[in-house]
Amino acid sequence: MMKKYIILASCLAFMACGNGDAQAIKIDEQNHLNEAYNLSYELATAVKEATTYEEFQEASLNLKSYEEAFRTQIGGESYLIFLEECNAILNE
Amino acid sequence: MKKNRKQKAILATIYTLFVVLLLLGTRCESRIHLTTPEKDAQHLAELAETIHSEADLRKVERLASEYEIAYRKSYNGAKALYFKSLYEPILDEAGERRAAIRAEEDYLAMQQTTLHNTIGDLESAWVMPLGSYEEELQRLIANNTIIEAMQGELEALIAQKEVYAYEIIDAGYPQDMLQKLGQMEADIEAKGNEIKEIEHRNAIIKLANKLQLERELVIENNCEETTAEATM
Repeated sequence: MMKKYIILASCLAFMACGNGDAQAIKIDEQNHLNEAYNLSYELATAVKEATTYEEFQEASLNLKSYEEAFRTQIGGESYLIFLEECNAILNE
Repeated sequence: MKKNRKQKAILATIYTLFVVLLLLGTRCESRIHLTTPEKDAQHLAELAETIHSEADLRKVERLASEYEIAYRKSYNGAKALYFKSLYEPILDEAGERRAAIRAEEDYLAMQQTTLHNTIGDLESAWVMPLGSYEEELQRLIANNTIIEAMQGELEALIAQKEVYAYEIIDAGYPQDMLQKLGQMEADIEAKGNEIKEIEHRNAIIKLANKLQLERELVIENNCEETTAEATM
């Protein structure tokens, strides 16, 4: 019985951690267009230039969290710019 | 006799009331309040201006259709047609806006998919177990050999399909032959996708070698002679 509770609590904690990242990020609503350009460059470059799997994992999780934050908080043109810039850097 | 007349009068009154209620009912059933065709079309035009999504557009289209039905019921077909002539250009314009919205949404979805796939590919490349340079090169060459064979099969399938298409024309488009042609087209598509998948696998192998071991796999003279030069 106890084991079940521990598994459930772990799952909930894991889910909370996963969602927490994007929720904790706050995109500057006054300056979201610049943020889209600057952050996409910074985050995608970190993913591309990772030299170990651990670095890659951290960088890609960070990028995904910001992507989610842009999608949910800003959307529209800035979100599209964020995606386009990330794709351009990662696929160049 | 007198009683009969009274009964008839009651029946006539009931019938008249029934007809009146029926007419009122059809009017009340519609939640549309009609003004004039010009004003109602103007109202639709104002609503069409606020369209931002597919759902918004569908609402305006539904409303226009309800207005038209209401005009037909409350007045006549001519009035409904006149109203239709006023709102149709508005809906056409709204349709163009919808197409633009859809294109934007599709483009956004494509960018999202590209980003997610790229990160997925990088993840696969980072976790891929790698062998020696020679072993990796052999993997690529083996895949290239499969691709070459499959491309030959694909070309044969395309040639067969083209011949079969002419046979269908000569036979006068019978249903069973058309079905077989559909199946041939599906086979061609499936074969093309299989080739793409192996090509993608090769791309991941190259990426994995580049990311994990900073080496580039170079195949010289395609399958026969291979010279491995690691760029460390």
